[in-house]
Amino acid sequence: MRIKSSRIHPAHRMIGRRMKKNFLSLLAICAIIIAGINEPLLAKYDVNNSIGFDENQVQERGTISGRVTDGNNNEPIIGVNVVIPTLNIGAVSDIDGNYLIANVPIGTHTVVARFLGYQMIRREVTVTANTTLTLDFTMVEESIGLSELVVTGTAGDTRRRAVGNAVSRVDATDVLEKTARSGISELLQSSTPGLTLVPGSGTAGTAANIRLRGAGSITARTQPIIYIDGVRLNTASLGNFDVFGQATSGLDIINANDIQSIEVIKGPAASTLYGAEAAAGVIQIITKKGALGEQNMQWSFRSEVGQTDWLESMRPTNYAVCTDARVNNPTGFPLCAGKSPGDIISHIPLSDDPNALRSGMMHNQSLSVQGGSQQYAYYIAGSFGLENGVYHNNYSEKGSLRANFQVFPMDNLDFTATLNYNRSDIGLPLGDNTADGLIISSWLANPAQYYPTTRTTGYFTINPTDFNTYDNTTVTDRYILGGTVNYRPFTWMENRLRVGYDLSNGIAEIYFPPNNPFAARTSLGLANDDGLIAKALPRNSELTLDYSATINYSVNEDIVTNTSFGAQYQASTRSRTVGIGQDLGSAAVRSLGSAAVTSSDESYVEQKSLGFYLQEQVAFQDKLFVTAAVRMDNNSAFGSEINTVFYPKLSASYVISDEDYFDVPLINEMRLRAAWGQAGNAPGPFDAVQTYGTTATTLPNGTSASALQYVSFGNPDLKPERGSEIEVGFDLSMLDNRIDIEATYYNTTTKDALISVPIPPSIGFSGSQLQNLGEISNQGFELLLNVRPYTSSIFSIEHTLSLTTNKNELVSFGDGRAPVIFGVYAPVHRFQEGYPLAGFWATRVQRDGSGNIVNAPNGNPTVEAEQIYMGSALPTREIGFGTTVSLFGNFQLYVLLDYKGGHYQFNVKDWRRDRSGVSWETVNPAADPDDVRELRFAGQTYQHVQEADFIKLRDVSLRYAVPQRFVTRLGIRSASVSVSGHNLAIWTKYGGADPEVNFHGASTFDRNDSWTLPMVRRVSASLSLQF
Amino acid sequence: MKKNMMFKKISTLVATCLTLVLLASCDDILSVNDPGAIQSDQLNDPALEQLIINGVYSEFQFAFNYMTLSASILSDEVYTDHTNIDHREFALFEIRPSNALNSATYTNLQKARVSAEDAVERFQAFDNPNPVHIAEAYAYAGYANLMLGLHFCTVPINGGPAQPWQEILNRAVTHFTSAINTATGGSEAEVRIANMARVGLGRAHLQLGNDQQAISAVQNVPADFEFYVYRSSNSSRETNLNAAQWISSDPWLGVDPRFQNLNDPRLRHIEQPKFGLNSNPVYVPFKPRAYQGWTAEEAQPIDLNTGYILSSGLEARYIIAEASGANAQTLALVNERRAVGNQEPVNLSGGELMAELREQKARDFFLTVHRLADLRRYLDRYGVDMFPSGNYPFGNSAYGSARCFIIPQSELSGNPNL
Repeated sequence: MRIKSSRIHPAHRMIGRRMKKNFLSLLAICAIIIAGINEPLLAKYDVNNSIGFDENQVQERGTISGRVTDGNNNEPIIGVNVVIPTLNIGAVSDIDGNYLIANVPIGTHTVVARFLGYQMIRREVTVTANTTLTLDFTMVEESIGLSELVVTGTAGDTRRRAVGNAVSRVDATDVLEKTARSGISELLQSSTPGLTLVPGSGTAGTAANIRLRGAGSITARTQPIIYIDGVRLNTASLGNFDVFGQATSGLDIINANDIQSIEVIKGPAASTLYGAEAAAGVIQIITKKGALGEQNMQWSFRSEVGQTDWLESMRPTNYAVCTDARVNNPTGFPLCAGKSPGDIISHIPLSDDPNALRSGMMHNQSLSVQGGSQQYAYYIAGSFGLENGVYHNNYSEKGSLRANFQVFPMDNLDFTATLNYNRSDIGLPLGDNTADGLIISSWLANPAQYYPTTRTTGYFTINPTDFNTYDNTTVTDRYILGGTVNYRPFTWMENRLRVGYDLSNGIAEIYFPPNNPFAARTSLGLANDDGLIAKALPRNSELTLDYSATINYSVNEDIVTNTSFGAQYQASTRSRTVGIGQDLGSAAVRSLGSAAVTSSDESYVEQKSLGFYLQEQVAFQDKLFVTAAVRMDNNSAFGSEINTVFYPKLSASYVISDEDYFDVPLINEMRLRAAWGQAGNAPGPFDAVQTYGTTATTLPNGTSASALQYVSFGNPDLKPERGSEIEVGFDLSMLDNRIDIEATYYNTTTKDALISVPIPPSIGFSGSQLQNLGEISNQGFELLLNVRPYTSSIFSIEHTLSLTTNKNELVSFGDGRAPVIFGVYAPVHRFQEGYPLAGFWATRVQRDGSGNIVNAPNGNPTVEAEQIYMGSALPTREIGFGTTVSLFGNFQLYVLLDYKGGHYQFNVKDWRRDRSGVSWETVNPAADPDDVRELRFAGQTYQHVQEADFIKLRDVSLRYAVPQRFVTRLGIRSASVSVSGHNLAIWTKYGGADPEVNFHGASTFDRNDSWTLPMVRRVSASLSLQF
Repeated sequence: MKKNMMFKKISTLVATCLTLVLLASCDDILSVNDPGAIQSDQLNDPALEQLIINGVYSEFQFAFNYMTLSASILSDEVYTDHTNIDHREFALFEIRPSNALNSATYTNLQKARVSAEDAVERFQAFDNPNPVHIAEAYAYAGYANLMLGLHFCTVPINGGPAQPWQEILNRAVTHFTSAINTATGGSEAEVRIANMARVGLGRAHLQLGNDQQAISAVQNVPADFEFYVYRSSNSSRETNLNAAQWISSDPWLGVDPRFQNLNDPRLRHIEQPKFGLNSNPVYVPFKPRAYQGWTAEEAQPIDLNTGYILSSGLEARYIIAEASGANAQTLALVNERRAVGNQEPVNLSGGELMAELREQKARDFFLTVHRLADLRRYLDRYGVDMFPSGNYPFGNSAYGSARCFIIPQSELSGNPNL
C-alpha cells in the first residue's frame, strides 16, 4: 500500500482546533503554580520540618552500625538494605551481616531493614553527635508479606498491608536459580495464581500469551500491560515474517537475569490507576539496583549450558498396509517391495533423517556488578545467550547490556537512570500451519510411499534438506531508557516524575534461494521458484511520561491520610516497511536491489493516551486502610464522540491480627481485604475511523496506477470496554509461620465489551466494525498455600500449592445475535451467549439406532444437525505444586508439578492423520469399518476435539551451594552449581503428544494442535558465582 | 499549627489538580497520524476522479481474477489436489457458508459492485465529470452485478434481503443500458466501453432467457472486439492469481480429465503431469485461448502478467448463436471454431449442433469465468446437466450437488435482513 496523504485523525482534529494549547507551556504553568504556592508555604510553615534545610543539623552527625541475622538460625544475612528513608542514606550488610551508616544527622530517625523474603523491620532511633549507635536486626522470614513494599502506581512506598487487593510477586532470581526456564514469559509459569500462560510452540525464540483471570474481551486486549521500572514496555511481535504458531514477543528479549522481581496486578479492582488500557491487568517488572551505604561492590557471574530435545516418545507412529497394488508398485511404494499383501509398514516421523531434527544446544552467560556508596548506587550487567531449536534452522540469540544508576545529591532529591540495550537474533523455521512445515509433511506421509514432490519417502510436501535451505531471521535492537526524579520538598510530600522511552528497531528477512528443486509457498503468497527475498523494517516505540505525587497527613495519632494524584501520558507507534524481491537469478544475490521484480508495503499505527488520577487513603492505627480513587482517561483510539471516561475504585485492608481482641490460637497474622474497582480496555488505534486507502490497478500498457480502495468501516461512537471487579480475600499465617495462605475470590464483569460486528460485504467494506455491545464475566478462586513443615539448618522442606479456577462466560452479545462460529481448520469455536469465549463445539457423524452411519445420497457420511458443546478452550482449573528440600544448608532439590485442566483442544494432527489413513486407528485390520469411516470423514470434529487435561513435570532442579570455606580462598564470596530440567514429562489422556500448543501463538482465541512443535524438553547445568 | 498544615497541603493539592485539569484540556497531544488513509469527505474532491475510477478498475480486476480460480473449480474445468478443506469442499461441490473461497469470491465481487456504483454517484456530483468515467463506472457496475447474478444462488444488495439471481441480472441490465446510453460521444474509449457493455448486456439477457434482447444487444459488436482484464507482476494484488500456483513445482490445480489431451491449441496443458500437494498427478494448463498472449502456434505458460479477455466479439457471436438456435449461422461458427481447434468440420443440426456449440464455447472460453454460468444455464434452460457427478478423481469422495456460490457467513452474520 502506498501512502497517499498524511492526515490528522479526524476525531481529534476538531478537538485540536477547539483547544490549541501547548503542552510544554502548560508544563511550565504547572511548575510555576507549584513553585509559587510551595515557596511561601515552605518559608512560612515548614522550615523545621524540611530535611536538608536545617543548617544546624548538617554540622553534627553520628554513626549507626549493627549486625543483621536470621531469626530462624542466627546466621548472618548478606545484602540486607538498612536505610533511613527520609534521608536517603543507608548501607548493605556484608558477608558477616554487619553494616555501618556513617554521617547520620543527629536527631530521631526511622531506620528500616529490608530484604526480599523477610519481614521489613522499622526502628526509631536517636542519633547523637559523634557517637556510634549500635542497632542490630533479627529478621524473620516473610510469611504473608504484609510489610513488603509493592508497586501501586502512586508515588512513594506502599506496604502490602495497605493494599486492598492481592498483589503477587515473583522472585525472578529464585526462579532462575531453581529452573531451566528461558525468558520472562516462562518465569511467570505456574508461579502466580490467576496467571495463565498460553504458549504457542516449542520453537526457540517464540513466546506465550499471558492471561490474568481469564479473557475479559473478545476483540480488545486480553494480555496485561507491562512496565519495567515504571516504563511501559512494548510487548508486540518483533515484526518477523509470519510463521503461524511461532509468535515472537518484545517481552522475552529482556534479559531475565537483570530482573529482581515481577509484580502481578491482576484485574480492574487493582489496576484502576493505570486507566483505559489496564482492564486485563498490569505486570510490573523491577530490575536489580545497586545498594546504598558504605562503599561496596559485588560481582555476580552466571553461566548455564544445556540442550533442548523433542523426544521420540512425543511423536506418533504412522502406518500403511501393503495392498496388492502397492506390493506390485515398487516405484510408488518402495517400502512395500518384497512384502506380502496385508503386511503393515510403520515408522516414526522425523526419526530417520538426521537433517530433520537435532538436539539444540543452549548456553547463557551473564556478568553483573552492583554497588554504591552514600550518594550513589549502580547496577551494570551484560549477558549473552543462545538457544538452538530442535530444527536445524531455528535459533534464538540474545545479548543485553543494562546500567541502572541512582544518585542522591540531596537528602530530599534522588535521580534514577536506567539504560538498557538488548539485541535479539531469531531464526525461525517455516512450518506450523503451512504445507512447507516438516510436521505436516511427515505426519501425513504414507510410510510406504515414495513422493515425487519431495523425492523421498516419509515426507509428502517438503523434505528436511529443502526445509533447511530457507532462512527466516529477525534481528532486533532495543533500547529502553528511563529516568525518574523523586523529590520530597517536605516531609509530607513526595513527587515523582518519570520519563521512559522504549524503542525497537528490527530487520526481518526471509530468503528462498533460486534454482531450488522445491519451491515453497510462504505466507507472502508469492512464487519463489526463481528465488525470493523479503525484508521488513519493524519499528515500535513507547513513550511514557508519568508524574505522581503523594501527600501524607497525620490527622491524629491514629489516623493518617495519604492523598495521591498524578498524570500519565503514553504514546506508542508501530510501523513496518516491507520490500520484496522476486527472481534473484543467482544464489549469490541476496539484496532487494538485485531482484528482477520488486514490491513494497508499509503499515503504521499510532496511539496516544492521557490520564489523571486522584486517590485518598485513610489508615487507622496502621491496621485498617480504606482507599478510594478515581481515574480519568482520554485516548486517541476513542471515537470522535467520546472525550473522557472515568474509572472509580474503593478498597479496604484490615490487619485483624493486630487487634487486641484477636486471639485466635495458632494464627500468627491475618489480614482481610476487599476491593472494587474499574478499569478500561481501549479499542485499536484506528478502529473508530472510516477510511479509504489506495491500491494499484494495471493499465493496458502493463504499468500500474494508484487506485482507490475501501479499507475500514469505523465506528465514531467507539469507547473503551469497562471492566468492573470485586475481589475479596484474606492473607493468613499460622502455626508459627509454618503455613501461609493467600486466598482470593474475584468476580469481574466487562461491560461495553467490544464486539466485532461483521460488516456485510454487500455494503462494500469487508471485515468487521467494533461496537460496544457485549458483556463478559470471569469469576474464580485463587489460593496460594505455603507449608514449611520442618525447617532447620540441617534439613528443611517447603511445599507451595498454587490453585486457580476460572469460569469465563459470554453473558451477552448485547444485540441478541446468533453465535459467531469460527475456527481455522473447521468451525470448532463459538462466541455464544452463556458459554465460555471461544468454547469448543464439535460436529458428530450421524448414526442410526443400530449404530450404523447414516449416509448421504452420494455415499458420504452425514452429520448431526446441531453441533455439540464440548468445553472451554482454555484451562478452567490450574494447580501448581512445588516442593523445595534443603539439606545441610548446601543442597536444594526443587520439583514443580503443573496441572491444567477442565478444557479441550482440537487435535488437528490426528484429525488429519486419520483422514490420510496413516494412523493405527484407521489402519488396524480389526477396527470397526464404520468407526474408521467416521475417523476419516473430514466433516466431523467430534472425535478430535479432545479433553486436554494434563500434568507436567515442569521443573526439577538440584542445586549445590559450595561451602564458603572452599571458595573464599579463591576470592569468591559464594558459589553454587545446579542441574535443571524443564518440561520433563507429561501425563494426559489427550490423544496427541502435547495439548499445550497452539497453531498460532499470537492468536487470542483460535486454538488447535496442528503443525506446531510441542513444548521441548530443556536440560541445563549452571554455575553461579558472587565475588 | 495543625490547621496551617492542612491548609498548606490542600493548597498544594488544589494547585496541582488545577494544573492537571488544564493539561486534560490539551487534546492536541492526543492527535495521531494515519498516513495510509483517505477520509471519506476527501472523496468529494473532483481531483480524485482518476483515483476513483482506477479503484473501479482495480476492484473488478481483482474480483474477476479471483473468480477465474473459484468458478473454474466449481465447474468441470479444473480439479484440485489441495489439502485445504476449503478447496476440497469446493471441488466436491459441497459449500458451507464459512467456506473461505466462497466468501472471498463474494466479498471481492461486492466490493467491485459497490465501488463502481458509488463512483457513478460521486462523478455525477462533480461539476464537470468525464463522461467516459461515468460510462466506465456504469459498465463495471454492470459486470460486477453480472458476475454475482450468473454465479450466486441469491445475492443481497447494500445490506438488504437476499434477492434471486434474476433480480441481480436485471440490475446488471440497467447498468449496462446506462453505460451504453452514456458512452455516446463517439470517442474510441466510449466505443470500447459501449461494446463491452453490449456484450455484458447480451450475456445477462441470455441467462435470463431473453433471447431476442440478447441478440439485439450484441449484434453490432465488431467480431474482432476484445476487452481485457489486465494483470501484472507489479504487485501481489495485480498478479494473475492462478499463475503463482501453476508455475509452482507442486501446483494444486490441474486441468480436469474432461479437458485433458484434446489436442486443441485453445486449451493445451503440460504433457507429463506434475505432482500436487497430495502427490496426485496434476496437468498444468498453458495459456488458453482467451488469455492475453495466447497464440495458436505455440504453447505458452501462464505467467504473473497474463490478463484475460473479459468480453469480445467472439462471445457476441456465441450469444447470437445460442439465442438463435441451430441454424446455418450457428453451424458456421461451430466449424470455424473447430478449425481453430484442429478439428474436422461437422455437419450437425438440432440438438447435436447445439451440443457442439456448447463444446466449442467451453474450449474457447476455458478458465475465463464462463463455464459455471453456462453449465447452470444449460441445466436451467435446456435441461442439459453437464455438472460433474460420480466419484471425484482422487480419494473416496463423490461429487455433491452445489450449483452456485452461496451467501457467505460474513454476510449472514452482519446483515440484519438475512
